Parts: sequence; structure tokens; C-alpha cells
Amino acid sequence: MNPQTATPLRQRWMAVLAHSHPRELAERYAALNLNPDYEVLRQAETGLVQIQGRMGGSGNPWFVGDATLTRAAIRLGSGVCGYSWVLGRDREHAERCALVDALLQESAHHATLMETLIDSLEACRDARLRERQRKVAASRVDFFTLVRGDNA
Amino acid sequence: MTLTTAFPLPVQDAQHCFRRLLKAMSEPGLVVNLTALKHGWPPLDIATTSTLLTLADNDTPLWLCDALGNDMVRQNLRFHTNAPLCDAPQQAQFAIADDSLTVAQLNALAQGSAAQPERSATLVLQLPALSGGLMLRLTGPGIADERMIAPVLPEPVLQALLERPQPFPMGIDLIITCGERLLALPRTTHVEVC
Repeated sequence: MNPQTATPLRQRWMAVLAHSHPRELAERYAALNLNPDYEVLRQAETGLVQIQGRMGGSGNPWFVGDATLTRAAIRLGSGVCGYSWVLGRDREHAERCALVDALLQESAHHATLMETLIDSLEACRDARLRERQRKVAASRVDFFTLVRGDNA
Repeated sequence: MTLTTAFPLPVQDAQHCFRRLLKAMSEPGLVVNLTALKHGWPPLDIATTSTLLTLADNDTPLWLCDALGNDMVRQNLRFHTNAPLCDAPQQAQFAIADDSLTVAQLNALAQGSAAQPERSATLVLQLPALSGGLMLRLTGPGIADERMIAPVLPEPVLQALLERPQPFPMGIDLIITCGERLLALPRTTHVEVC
């Protein structure tokens, strides 16, 4: 198997694509100026997925609810297939993610895309998460109880 | 990976094909054209592929005969129709076969029962030609007077059509495909050699 399509690596870029912001991906992808020849295996279509949670973080599984999800599948001229599942109902974004997934499996584009697209999108997501953590932390309250004298 | 494309417009093309299939089923022996696809999934013809894309879903077990059931066809059926593929013809709601169909396989197809005739299988038979065989006269519902067809039918299918071993309302429905053309012989049609 091609080392570039090894499972952990592919899991990483699939996760980054799934969490990417549609506008951020579109801008970066357009800047690369790739015009690959591809055909759509499955048109982008929107549906629901059931989201599973666990009681107390590690207990019995239960269904939190449904989330809107868009999926797409494409095939490049070379026969490589790309898939995507992204939250929301942005069909163009789902198709673009599938296309990037397929291109990442090709050795000609792998290194470029990993550097210019995946690393940068991951940095964007980290920045978004850090920003949110910072805002939440700003309103943090530490509760404490003073030791009362009569226990001594 | 051998996945390939299906209908370019999934909803509209499937509805269009369904309407053509309805026309073929309601007027037995009438040849209709299914032209939504540019190419089938070899060795399946365009008409066979379109029929499966239109009718098969996750509720309809499919059985493919050995000659037609290659890896590419199976992968595409799973991907595009989500239909379960079964190994034995007994479990199938749709059976896809070519002219190598044997008597044993034909007899194994579900025939339905008097109380539940809808449990019978539909046989999609892919043939090299819809003409040049034995001339058959069709009469029955959907045919004003009589209609003549001459597909090159395999011997077991011809015998089953002439004898109709199961009494109505039991028995299988037959869809005959060739290239992008298709005709249907539902269980109500009376067939005789002329």
C-alpha cells in the first residue's frame, strides 16, 4: 500500500477537512490553482446522522440527537476515489473536500497539499479553539471555602 | 477501486426510468428505451444497470448469476443502490441473469404465495438480442389484440413462460434487457409459440 494513503495519515487529513471552515478551504484551494479532471460518483447530498453520547463521559451510550451532514464522492481521471462527510448543508464544500481527499492520495499532489492546505487548516482550527478557550477562561470562577474556626 | 458513475441526475433520471419501466410492465412486449446512462457497468448493459439503479434499494435483496456478478458490478451496486447481495436465488427479490440461467436457478426463485403474491421475484434477463428467436404471440391484460415478440430466450425461461407452472397470482415477472432497450413479460401475460 502507498505510504501516503496509510490509515492514520488519512484519518488526520479527513478530520482536518471535516472540521475545516468552508470559506477558509475555498480560498486556499482556489489559490493553489489546481484544475484536476474528475467526475462525480455521488452528488453531494444532505441527510442526518445520529450522534452518540456517553453518560458521564464514559458510561452507557445514548443518542444525543441528529446532526445535518452532507456527503459526496468523486473519482479523479486516474481512478482514485475521494470521499467526504462534513457537517452542515454546504454542498460545494462537501464536493471540494472529497476532491482534496482524492488529490491527497496522489503522490504528485500529496506533499504540496499537506503543507499548504492541511497544515494551514489545522493551524486555523487550533487558533479558533484557543480563542474560544481564552474567552471561556476569562469568565472562569474558582470557588473555594474558607476554613471555619470552630472545626479546629 | 472500480467505482463508476450512476445517473447524472439521480432523482429525475430514476423517475424517468421508473416511468418507462411502468410503461413496459403495463404493456407487455412493448420495447422501451432507457437512455439516461452513457454506459452500463460491464458486463451489465445500460438497460439492466438503469433498471437496478431505479428499482433496487436496501429493502430488495439481489441475486446475480455467476456470469454477470463480477467484483466491479458488486461494488457499484453496493455503493449506488445499497442493496444486499445474496448468494442463493431463493432469497432474492430481483434476480439478474443472462442466457446461462439454469433450470435449477430459475425454479429456485421465489414464486410468492396465493396470500402474498408480491413476495415473488422479478427476473431481469439480459440477452444478446431482442429479435431473431422463436416468434411468440402475447395476449392478456395490457395488450389490445395480440403482440408478437421474438427474443432469443434460454430454454428454461421459454418453457416456464409457455407452461406457467405456478397458478395466478403466483409466478415471477420477467424483464428482458438488451443494450439500452427493454421489454417486460409480467405473470399475467399469456405466451404461446406461433
